[in-house]
Amino acid sequence: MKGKKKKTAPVSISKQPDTPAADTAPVALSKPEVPAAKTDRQPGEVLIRVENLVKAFGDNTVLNGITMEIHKGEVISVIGPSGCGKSTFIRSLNLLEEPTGGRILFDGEDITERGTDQRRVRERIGMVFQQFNLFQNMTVKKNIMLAPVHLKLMTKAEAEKKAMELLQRVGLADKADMYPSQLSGGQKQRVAIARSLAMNPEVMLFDEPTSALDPEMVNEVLNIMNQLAEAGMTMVVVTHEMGFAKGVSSRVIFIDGGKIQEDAPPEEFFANPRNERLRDFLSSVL
Amino acid sequence: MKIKIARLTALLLSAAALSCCFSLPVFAEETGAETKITAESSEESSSAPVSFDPEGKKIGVTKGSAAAETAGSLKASEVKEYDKTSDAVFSLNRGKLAGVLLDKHMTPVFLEKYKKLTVAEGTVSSQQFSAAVKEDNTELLSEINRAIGDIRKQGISEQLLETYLPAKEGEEGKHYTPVLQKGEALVVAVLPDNSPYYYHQEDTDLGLDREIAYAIADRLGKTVRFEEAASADELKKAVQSGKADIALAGLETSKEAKDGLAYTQPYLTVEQVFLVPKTAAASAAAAVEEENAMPDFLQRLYDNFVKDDRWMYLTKGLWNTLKITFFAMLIGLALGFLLAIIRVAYDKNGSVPVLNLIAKLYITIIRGTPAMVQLLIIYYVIFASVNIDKVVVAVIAFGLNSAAYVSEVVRSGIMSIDPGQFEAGKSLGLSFPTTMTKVILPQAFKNVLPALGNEFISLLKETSISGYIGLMDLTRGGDIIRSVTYEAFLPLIAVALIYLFIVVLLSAGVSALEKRLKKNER
Repeated sequence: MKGKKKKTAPVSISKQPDTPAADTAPVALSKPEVPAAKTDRQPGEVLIRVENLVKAFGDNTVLNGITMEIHKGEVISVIGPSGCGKSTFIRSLNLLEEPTGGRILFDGEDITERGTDQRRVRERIGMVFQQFNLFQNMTVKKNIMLAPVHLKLMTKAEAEKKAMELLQRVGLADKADMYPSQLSGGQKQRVAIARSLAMNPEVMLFDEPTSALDPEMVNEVLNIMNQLAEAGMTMVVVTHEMGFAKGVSSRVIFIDGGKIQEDAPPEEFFANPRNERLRDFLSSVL
Repeated sequence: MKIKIARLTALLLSAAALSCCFSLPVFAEETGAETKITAESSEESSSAPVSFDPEGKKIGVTKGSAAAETAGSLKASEVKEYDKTSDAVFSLNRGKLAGVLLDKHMTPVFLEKYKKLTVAEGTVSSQQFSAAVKEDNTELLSEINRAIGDIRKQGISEQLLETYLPAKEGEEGKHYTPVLQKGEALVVAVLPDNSPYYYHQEDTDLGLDREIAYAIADRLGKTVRFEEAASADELKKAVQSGKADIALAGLETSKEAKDGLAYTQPYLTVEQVFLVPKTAAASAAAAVEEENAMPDFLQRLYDNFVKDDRWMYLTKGLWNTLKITFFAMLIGLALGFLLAIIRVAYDKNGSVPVLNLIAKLYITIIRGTPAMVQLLIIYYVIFASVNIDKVVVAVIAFGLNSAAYVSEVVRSGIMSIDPGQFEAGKSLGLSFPTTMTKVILPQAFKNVLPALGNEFISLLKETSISGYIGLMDLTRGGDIIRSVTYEAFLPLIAVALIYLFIVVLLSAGVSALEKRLKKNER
């Protein structure tokens, strides 16, 4: 265990008796999103605090002072027009982009400070990419097992058991020995989610997880995300899926011009937008 | 000591006996100027004596030979220098030259082969051959001078010249039997396959210079180690660089060249004559004879590859070529991947800037200079004073060379991998090296496999320059056969076919591997 910080109440992935997708059958595509409203759940203690975050690429300032808190158990949707910096924001949270200003406190610890063990931080933060980024040279199962085994968090046998559990959970147990190139987009993304979950992360970041998918595959991925949310996982989701933002998330954030323009529970956010640019944005996407 | 003297005496006696019986030409001790010898050893059959005046004609010589020095003063319209005497004579026979100036005792073998040729009347000049040592090595110079003085006094060199002058067929000459004392080695630079000075025949090491070397070493209380140089230039370089103590390969005495070498007193006096076509009538008759004597294809195959186990030159050469290619490939792959990773680590993360600079410099230098120059530098400069197996030198040289190319190929392969693969590794908490070895390199390797295969095919063929450090690779093996049989076609074609065969095998191996790796993903 080499002194790894003990996970605070990890999301118990395996305990999902009431989830419809728990059996191996793929998620029913025809089923419309049935978001179980999550707004009533109680936000826990602060997990991530972002203070005046600035990110500039040369002269181009993409994030211009973002301040917010992410509490345990929250599901936060981040929306905004393209190029607004929402992807950069979420990638900053696990330091894939190194901030040029401000700081990020993860579990009370400033992870933007020099000398921070970035890898240790990333172990605790799961990330799902728009382009899935599965390791092309490995089978589905190996994709999931690689990090836990290599970082000595699990033995090979444990990791394999975990991988099979997770694949069962995302409905892809029968694809364990296939290569990513043999899967559809939706299946790839579900494997990518399983791969992140294998690390027992304390928070999951989703960077437009359904944007690269064919329309009929969007729901199978959203359904998995719903399950995660129901299980109490802390999630930050950059998305264009207004249905998800509305129905599943506990908070919705609108970023434009590198700043947070609106930060509200979904009902208020959609019914009663205060920011003018958000109103324009919503009228164009809804 | 006693034994040695006894042996030498015996040798001398037999020498004297021989020269009585066969009345061989006498080689003058001092200048050789007064010896008037016509082309007596050749003209027994139809041809009338031919006189030859080189003025205004195109003549051929062997590069770096004593004859080449003489040729400069002959007013010939053009002096064409050949790497091998056999090549010069071949051109003469083809009518491309008017005459070839060469050492007299080398003529019989050519007269046997080319019926159209004969030796022109008169001795052109008489040359004295010396050994050469490094200019500042006066101590060794005087030691060797003393040894040569002794050798000449005992008539050993003249005896050897007789032995190696095949005037009468079937006559076994007397050889100098080395005493082979224990002691440090006298490294003697020689030109290999240079009959009659230094050559192999049927697994026997022969050569006039070779035996002179033993005689000198015996008098110095040393053993002999031969350093085979690829050309006369290389020969001098070997002595200049200290790889060899002395050069012994028909170097001319009187030369005042500022080549950094000091020449000893002559150990041998040799005459030079012109090899020329016979008179028209005789030539026509000879042409018919040659036509008739033209061996059929099977005979030629036999002569080139079967006789005297000559195919061994090809198999031994091939074995060396394969060894060099294989191990150079391993070094190239290992070092090439390392260089590529260093450069990518810098490009992606800005880490290891100093190593990156070194890697870039290395790649620039290696790619910016010819492989042959690198090979020569490694052999003559870096390993100048080290006695090291030439195959090892070649492996190092070609490995270092290949690494630069491999690294660029691999780097382009790594850069072609979707950055998302790096990010996925990062986001899972994997380190850069782990992501590299587990995720990126396996994919990059598969992508660049065709390009790598290409690089190794180039490498295989590039090793054909190994001959420049006197290493017998496949190409050189073919060369040796060529210099023995005086035939170009079959040995060269055989060598070409062998290379082609290996390249085809190599390509097949690469595409099989490619297919296997592809199957893993699709």
